[in-house]
Amino acid sequence: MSIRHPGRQRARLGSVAGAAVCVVGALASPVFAQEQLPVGPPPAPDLTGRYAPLTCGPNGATCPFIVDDLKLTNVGRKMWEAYEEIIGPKFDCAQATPPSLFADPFRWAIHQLTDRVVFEYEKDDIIRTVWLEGWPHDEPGAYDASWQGHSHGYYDGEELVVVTTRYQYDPHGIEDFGGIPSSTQKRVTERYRRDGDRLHLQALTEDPLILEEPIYFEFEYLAGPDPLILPYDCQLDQARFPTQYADPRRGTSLADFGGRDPDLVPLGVSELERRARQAEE
Amino acid sequence: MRLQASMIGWAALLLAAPLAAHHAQAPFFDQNTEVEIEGIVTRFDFRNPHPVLYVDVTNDSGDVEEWQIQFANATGLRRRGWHKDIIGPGERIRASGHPSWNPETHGLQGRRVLKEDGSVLGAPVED
Repeated sequence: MSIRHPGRQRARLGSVAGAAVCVVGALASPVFAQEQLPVGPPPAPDLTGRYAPLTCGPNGATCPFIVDDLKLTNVGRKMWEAYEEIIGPKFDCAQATPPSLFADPFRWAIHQLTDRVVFEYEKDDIIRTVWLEGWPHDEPGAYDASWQGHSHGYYDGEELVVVTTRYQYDPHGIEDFGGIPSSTQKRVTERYRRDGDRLHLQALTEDPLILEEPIYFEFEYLAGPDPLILPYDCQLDQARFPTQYADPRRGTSLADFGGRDPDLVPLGVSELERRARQAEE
Repeated sequence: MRLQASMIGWAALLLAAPLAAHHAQAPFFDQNTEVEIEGIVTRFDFRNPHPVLYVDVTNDSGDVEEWQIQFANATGLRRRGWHKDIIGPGERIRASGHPSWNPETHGLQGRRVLKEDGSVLGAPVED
C-alpha cells in the first residue's frame, strides 16, 4: 500500500517561488515597497496546535501493534523471537520512535514555521524537526543515521506530508511493546490533515529487511487547549528499575509471555476513545 | 502483611489505578496474580518513566520487607493531579497489584493504593 504524493513538485516549486519573492522584496526600492507583495511560503493548512490521541484504525480495526497481525520477513520474525524485553534501550531512556510513537498515550504539539515544522512530544521530550522542501538545511552525512531519522516535508493541499529516513537500527523500532526491530532501511511517511478539532494521521511504515509488507494505519487526535506537561525528564536509574523484577530463570522474551499485556490488547478505537474521554474529563 | 485481594470487601470500592507503561509488564510482573500489601511509606520517587512508592511491610514472620510499588508514567499521573508530595514517609497504606516474578524482589505493579483515611491515592488513571 502506498500513500499518494500528488502536488509534491507543485509544493516544492511554490516554496522556491516564495523564497524568490522574499529576495526580490528585500531588494525592492522604497517606491515598490509601498505595494506589499505576498512573501514567504505558499499558503499552508493550519495544523499548529496541541493534540491528544483519540482513535486508531483504520476503520475501527485494532492498531497494527500486534505481532500476529504483522507480516514479518524471516529475519524480522527471528529477531522478534530472539528479542528479550530487558535489552530494550527504552530502559536506558532511549526515545520512542515512529510508528510506535504515534500510538503513545501522551500529548504532543505541532509548530509550523516558515522553513520547517516542529513536532514536540511529551513522551521522552522528543523534538522532531521536519524540513520543508525548498528551504535550505543541512542534509545528513553518510554517518548520520539517528534515533528520529531525518525528515523532509511538504504541503499537499490541506495536508502536511512528512517523509523520514536515515533511522539508526532500533531494537524496537517497528513495535515497542513486542520488540519488533527496525533496520536502517526504515522509512515512515506521514500525512496530517485537520478537520475542526480533529487531526487525522495516515502513516505508512516500510522496512524491507523486517516487514514483508508496509504497515499502514490511521490515527485521529483531538485538538485541545491544555499545555503539554514538560519536561518528561526520564531518569536513567528509574528507567531500568523494573528490570530487576524479571525472573532470571525465565527470561523476558515476550514470545514466551504471550506477546503484549492482556490489559493492553486490543488497542482499538473504543479503547482509545475511552481513554481520550477520560483524559478530557 | 501480604493479603489476597479478594479477602477484603473494601477492595471493591477501590478505583482502577495506574499501571500501564510504555513497555510490556508481563516479563516483570505476574499478570495473573494480584496481591495486597499493607505498610508504612518510607519514600516516594515521583519521576519518569515510572514513579515508585517504597513501603515497609511486616511479613508473617515479623520481619520488615521493603516493597516497591511501581506506577505508570509521572506525566500521565501529573495530569490527573498527582504530585511529588501526594504521599510521604510515615503514611500507612494498603495497596494491591501484580507481584514481581523475581522471588528475590518485592515489587508490585500498582493498581490500587488506599490511604489510611480510606481515600484512594490520586485520581484513577489508565494510560
